[in-house]
Amino acid sequence: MKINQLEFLILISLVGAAFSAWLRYTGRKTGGSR
Amino acid sequence: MPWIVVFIYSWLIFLLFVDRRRIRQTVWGGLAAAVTGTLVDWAGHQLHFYHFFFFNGVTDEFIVTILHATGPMFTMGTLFFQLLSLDRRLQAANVAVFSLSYLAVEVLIVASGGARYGNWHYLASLAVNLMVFSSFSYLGEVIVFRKFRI
Repeated sequence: MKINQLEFLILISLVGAAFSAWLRYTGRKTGGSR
Repeated sequence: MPWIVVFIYSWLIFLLFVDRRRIRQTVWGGLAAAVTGTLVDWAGHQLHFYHFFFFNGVTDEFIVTILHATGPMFTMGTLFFQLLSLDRRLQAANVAVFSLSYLAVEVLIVASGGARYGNWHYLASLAVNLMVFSSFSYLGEVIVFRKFRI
């Protein structure tokens, strides 16, 4: 599988958004985030 | 390009979620991740498991190793220590999410040409990620929660 730079940017943004949502969730659960 | 984007995104996420009041304890997770990751990358290059690409020059692996260690490894290691949970199920989910996120980033970097596998496989990366984050869960409990267990 090969992807170009725009596809990389879109997909990495989706991964970042999903990961951020998890950090927000665990942050609320543990009190570990602002 | 992919390495610069990953570096910037890592620091953006870090700055959004870091708790500066606890940084003195949690930064040890970032430092441990950076050191461990650098060692693993060095061994991976020496054994031709995988290679990094940046400018397509001889200094690529040096540059990328520094970007990798000071970007996603340091920032996510620190956040992992910050978000440790004593709830076993939540911590297991934390290990799974961090491992799968690293794997997703790796798949995208390989697909975009920022790295190339030699004698390596995605499942090997997933296994290393799971082992590292499981070990860091224990290390984090000792450093952050001062819980010593054998």
